[in-house]
Amino acid sequence: MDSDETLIADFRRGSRDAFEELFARYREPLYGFFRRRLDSRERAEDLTQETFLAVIRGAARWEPRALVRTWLYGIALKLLYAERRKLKRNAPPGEAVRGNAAETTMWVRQALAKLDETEREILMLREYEQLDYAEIADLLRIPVNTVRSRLFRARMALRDCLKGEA
Amino acid sequence: MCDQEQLMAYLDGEAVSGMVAHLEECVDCQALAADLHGISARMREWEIEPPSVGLDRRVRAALAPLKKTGRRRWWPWVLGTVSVCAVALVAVAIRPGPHRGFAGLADAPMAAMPPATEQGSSPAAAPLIARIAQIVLTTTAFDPARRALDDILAHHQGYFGDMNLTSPTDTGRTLTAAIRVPASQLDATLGELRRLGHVESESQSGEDVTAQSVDLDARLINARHTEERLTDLLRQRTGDLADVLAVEKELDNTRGEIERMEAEQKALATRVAYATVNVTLTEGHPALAASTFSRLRNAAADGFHSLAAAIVAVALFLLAWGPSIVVFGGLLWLGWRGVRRFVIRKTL
Repeated sequence: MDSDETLIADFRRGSRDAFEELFARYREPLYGFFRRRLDSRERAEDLTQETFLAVIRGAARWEPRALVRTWLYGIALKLLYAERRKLKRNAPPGEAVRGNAAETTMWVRQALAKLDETEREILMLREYEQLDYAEIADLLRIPVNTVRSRLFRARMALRDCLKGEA
Repeated sequence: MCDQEQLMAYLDGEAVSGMVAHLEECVDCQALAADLHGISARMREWEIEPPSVGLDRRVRAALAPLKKTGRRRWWPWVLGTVSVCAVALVAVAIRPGPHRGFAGLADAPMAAMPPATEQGSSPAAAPLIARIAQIVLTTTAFDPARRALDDILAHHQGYFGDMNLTSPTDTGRTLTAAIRVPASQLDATLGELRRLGHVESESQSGEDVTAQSVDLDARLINARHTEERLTDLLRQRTGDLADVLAVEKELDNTRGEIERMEAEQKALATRVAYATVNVTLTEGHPALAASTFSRLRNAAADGFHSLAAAIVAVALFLLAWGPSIVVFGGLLWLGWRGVRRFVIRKTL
């Protein structure tokens, strides 16, 4: 199986198949990234689409020294922050976990909502996007040691929630 | 004391040494590991439904311009893209400020691109300064100074950018020159120029061209990408002859633009690498000794001017303070007179 980096290099040379392969690999992970962070399914799809459009437009700018995965999530994070700024401007004050998800999902969402914003982001990038510490540090522009300590704090907070629930 | 963060990092697959043996022995760490596994397991219960097929359709539609097949459909996309690129290039080229990229959606992802794409825009990069100095000199030894100027330029690997020498019949000669010296040699060059004669005036300034350079680099990269894409399209040659000609025309335009920007880039680099010194060297004559008559005439003129200035100063003083002096002086005189009469009466 070709690596992401090979695929993007092929895509830069004009291979449509390479992009199709990359799209197939990251279609669901990127949608999941947005879906877990936004209430609207439509907006999650829109932003996933915008991420891939940015890849089409900016593939020529990608350089082999960066992992394609980090690059993709970097684009996704920028779009997410922009979306949140827009939502903050339009939405009434007070953030609450909404939806009619299953009970377990609600527990996770509520527990995550209680965390500090950066700690939550680090935890989600690790658990759901499966990024390693260095990738998270690169994306959030913080030291690896900070990633580790915040991730630990976030997990301990979740453990307390879990015990409280039990 | 166990390092719990280390344990977590080990469980996450990070490179941590000596943790396997420790985990086998330490009950606390085993409990923590079980908790961490439990948390991950609970979190992964939050599953997400797959995206709709609409997403696939929309992304593939955006990809359509890259299709290699479909002879009748590819050219409008190509020409549209090329036109947009050309318009964007022209718009950016005539814009005086630094290039900020396209507004809206593109800003966010482009900002997330790998840092290497932002060539020269690193905040840590040294600023590019084009230095300019002016120096005006007067000398009685014009010819030796002129030769010394050539020596200074040769010594500092500089050159004349522009030079003009005038020799009027009634006054001394004047040389005006714009000399270019390596920026690192500017201070040394100025030091030697000062020794050529009497310095009438001197100034220095620097123009920060960092933003201009970064903007130019970015535009050049974009233009090269456009050129690459157009070259690829030409290589395929799947369209009609008219389409191929249209692409060739756009390719010519883009190459012309690239050459122009490369020339601009070189000129900018030269401006930074070489400082400009505008030198004005004027031939002066020694002052003639003044005659006794001239000195007497000058002294008389000075005396007259001093007298006139003194009269004006007195008049100004009287006009400014006269009314106050009259009023307060009168009051004091009346008071003094009253006191004097009173004292005289008492005495008598």
